Amino acid sequence: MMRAARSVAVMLLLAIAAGHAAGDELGDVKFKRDGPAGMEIPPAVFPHGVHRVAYKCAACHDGLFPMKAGSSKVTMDAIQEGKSCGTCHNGTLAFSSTFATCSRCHRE
Amino acid sequence: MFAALVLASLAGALLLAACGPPPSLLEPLFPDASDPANATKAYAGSPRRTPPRKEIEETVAAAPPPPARPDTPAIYATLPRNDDGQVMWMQALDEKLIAPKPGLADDAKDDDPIDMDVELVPKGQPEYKVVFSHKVHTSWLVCDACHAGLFEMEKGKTVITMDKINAGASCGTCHGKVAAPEPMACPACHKAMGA
Repeated sequence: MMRAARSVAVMLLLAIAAGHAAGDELGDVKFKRDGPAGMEIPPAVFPHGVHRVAYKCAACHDGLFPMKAGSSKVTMDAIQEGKSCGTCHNGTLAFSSTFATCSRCHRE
Repeated sequence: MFAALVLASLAGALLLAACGPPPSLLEPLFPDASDPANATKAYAGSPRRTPPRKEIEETVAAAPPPPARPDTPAIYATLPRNDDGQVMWMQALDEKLIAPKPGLADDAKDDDPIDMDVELVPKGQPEYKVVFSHKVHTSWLVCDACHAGLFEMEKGKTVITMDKINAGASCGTCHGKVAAPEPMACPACHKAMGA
């Protein structure tokens, strides 16, 4: 299951932070996917606000993620390896990336 | 001839007598199933299938439940907002509605906010005076988030204009993208305008 998820992830879901495009909330970062066109899975959205509830800016910036928009490459591969978002999103600190949680990040 | 036959018979009889009755010799190899003592004997060889290992089930059942995590989306939905619909983060922090951690590590230590206001007065336009609160900003950020990449430490060295901010530079690097002016609009920064 996880292996299949990873394969799909490696092939298709290379994403690049594309800057602060308009989202539902101030600080929502909609990622631009650098992958094949015509994918049904929407690109990921990072909600700054939800994360600020639990962490101050300094927790991630600039250690884990540079502030500059577009400078962080986020891949599903890296997340599965416990890097990038996977530093916390590992099922212990925060929900992990599985087929059950795709839509928590990949949403319109 | 007769004598030889007698001798052979005698030898055979003696041999049989010496060996005892054949059943006693072969008994260990062919236990008499009709003997009730043998019928109740359990098979002592190695079993073909290993019995199910109960301890595995017990280990799974005894695993501790995952630690409860704060439902951050639910908490976020309850935070106070200004008339523009933006979250009032400083109010949330001051009223302890949230307790954001300063680092990812469990033992991450937080530095005290730096209580230092910087007044920025445009030349000849005191009504547009800005009061920049280090305390507010260092409640969230560390010094090197802004110094000296975005803003020089030396006062007056970095020129700040609304054009730059509106173009997403200077204060606009964060404000307008991830941070809202609080409480809202011009007086949030231009304190003189709200007086």
